[in-house]
Amino acid sequence: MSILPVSSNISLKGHVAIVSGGARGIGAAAAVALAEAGASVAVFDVLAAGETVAAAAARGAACRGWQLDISDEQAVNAAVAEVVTALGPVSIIVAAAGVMPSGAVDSGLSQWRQVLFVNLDGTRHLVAACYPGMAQRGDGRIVLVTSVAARQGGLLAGAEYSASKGALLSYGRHIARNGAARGVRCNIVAPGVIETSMNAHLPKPDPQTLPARRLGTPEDVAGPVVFLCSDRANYITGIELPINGGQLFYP
Amino acid sequence: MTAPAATSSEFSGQLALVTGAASGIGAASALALAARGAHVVCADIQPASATLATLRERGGQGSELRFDLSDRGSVARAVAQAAQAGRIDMLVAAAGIGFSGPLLSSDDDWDRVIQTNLSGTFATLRAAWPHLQASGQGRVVVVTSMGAYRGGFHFGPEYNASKAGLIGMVRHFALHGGPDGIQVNAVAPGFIETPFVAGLPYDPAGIPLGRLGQPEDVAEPVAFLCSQAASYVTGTVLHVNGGVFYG
Repeated sequence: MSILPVSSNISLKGHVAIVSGGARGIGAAAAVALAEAGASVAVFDVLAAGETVAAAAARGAACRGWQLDISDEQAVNAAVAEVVTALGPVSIIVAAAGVMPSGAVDSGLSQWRQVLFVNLDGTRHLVAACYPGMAQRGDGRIVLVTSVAARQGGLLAGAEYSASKGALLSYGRHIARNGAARGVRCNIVAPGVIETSMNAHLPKPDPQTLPARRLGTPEDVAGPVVFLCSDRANYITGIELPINGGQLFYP
Repeated sequence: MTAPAATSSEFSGQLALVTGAASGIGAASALALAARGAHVVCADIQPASATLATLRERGGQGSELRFDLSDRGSVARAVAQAAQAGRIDMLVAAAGIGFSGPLLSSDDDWDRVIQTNLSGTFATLRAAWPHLQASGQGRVVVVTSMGAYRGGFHFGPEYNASKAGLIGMVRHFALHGGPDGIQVNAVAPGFIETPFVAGLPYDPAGIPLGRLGQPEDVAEPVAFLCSQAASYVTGTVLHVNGGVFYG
C-alpha cells in the first residue's frame, strides 16, 4: 500500500470507522488512511480484506475485516453489532462498496437490480445500522463514494451504475439535512476515473484529455475522505466533492 | 465545534500569498498555512500586522504588504513584491468588498465591486501565474460566496455577480493550469462571523449545523485544497456553509 497523501496531522483517535468495500481500491486506501489518522477501522467487504487489515495494523491501528455481502441486511446488522462490541461505537462510515459491470442504456433487469441492490441498498443497510447510534451520541461523519457518472452519465458501465450513484447523492443529502441537528454530517465524494480493479475491464480515457493529465489513484480519493471525516470539516455537510482531475467542473 | 487548527510541516519551504489577510477568512487562512510551515505573505489594504503577530507567536514565518485590490498597478506591484521572498507556490485570494444596498444598486457600487472583486482577483491571478507555473505545484484557492449560487439579502447584486464571475474564472484557470501542475479551486463560504459582516442580521436558527461559521471553519478547507490530500481536486467549488446549501 503506497504512501498516503493524508497530512496536516489530522487525528481521528478515539473514532471507530466502518469502511465498506475496503478490501481493494478506493475503500482500501480510505481504510488505511483512516488508520493512519488514528481511527480504529472495520473493513466490510465481500472479499477477504487481509491486505488492508495488515496495512492498517502496520500503522498501529486496531483493524479487523468482516467478510460479508453488503446487500444482505441481516449480515450487515450482525457485523455492525460485532464492530461495536469489538472496537466501540461507530462514528465514521465510508461507504465505498459498489459494483460496476459493463452495460448499456438497458443492461437488462437482473443487472439493474443487482447493481442497485449492492450500490444503493447496501449503503442504506450500513447507514441504517449505524445512524441511530451516531445520532444518539451526537457524532457521526458519513462519506458516500459516488461517481462523476451521477452527474454526466457513463458510457461504458450500464445506466444502472449511473442511476445508483445519482441515488446515493440524493440519499446522502437526505442524511445530511436530517442529521445536522443531531451531530451527524454526511458528505459525498465523486471520483472521476480512478484506476482500480473495479474498472480494470473497461477502457480508460486518454489522460492527456484531462486537465490533470493523469488518471486518479485510490489515494487521491482517500485524502479528501479523511478530511471530510475530520474535525477540520466540522462546518461542511451535504456537499458533493468532485475528485476527478478536472474531468468535469461542478458543482 | 469550530474546525481546529492544524500544525505540521507539510508546506515547509513553500511560499503562500494570501490577500485579504488582515482579518476574517483571509487572516485565518494565513494562519492555517503558516501553521503548516508555509512562509505566508499577508497582503491587505489594511495593515495585517495583527495577523502577522499571531502568526509569529505561533512559530510561523511570514511578512506583510499593503495593496489595493481595485488598482491593477498596485496588485502587480504587490505580487512582484511577494515573489521577492521566493517563488509563489500558493495563492489564496480572499480580498474583496461588498456593500449593503438596494436591489437596484447604483452604477458606482456595481462598478466598484466588480472592479475590485472580479477584476482585481483576475489581476492577482494573472500576476501570480508565472510564479505558480515555475513552482510546478501551484495551488490557487479563490474565496467566493454561497451568494454566487443563491443570491443574498445583505449585499447588492454586484457582490454575488462578482463572486459568480470568479467561479467561471477559477474553472478557466483550472482547465489551463493542469499541464503546469497548477490546481485552481474555490471555496464558497456561507454565513461566517467576520468583521466583513459585523452588524448584519445572521440567524443561526436557519443553519442546519446550528451555528454561524467561524473563519477557521473556512481556513481549514482552504488549507486542505492547498495540500497533497487534494492532489486530484481541481476546478471545483467547496461549499462551507453548515448545511444551508449543498451546491
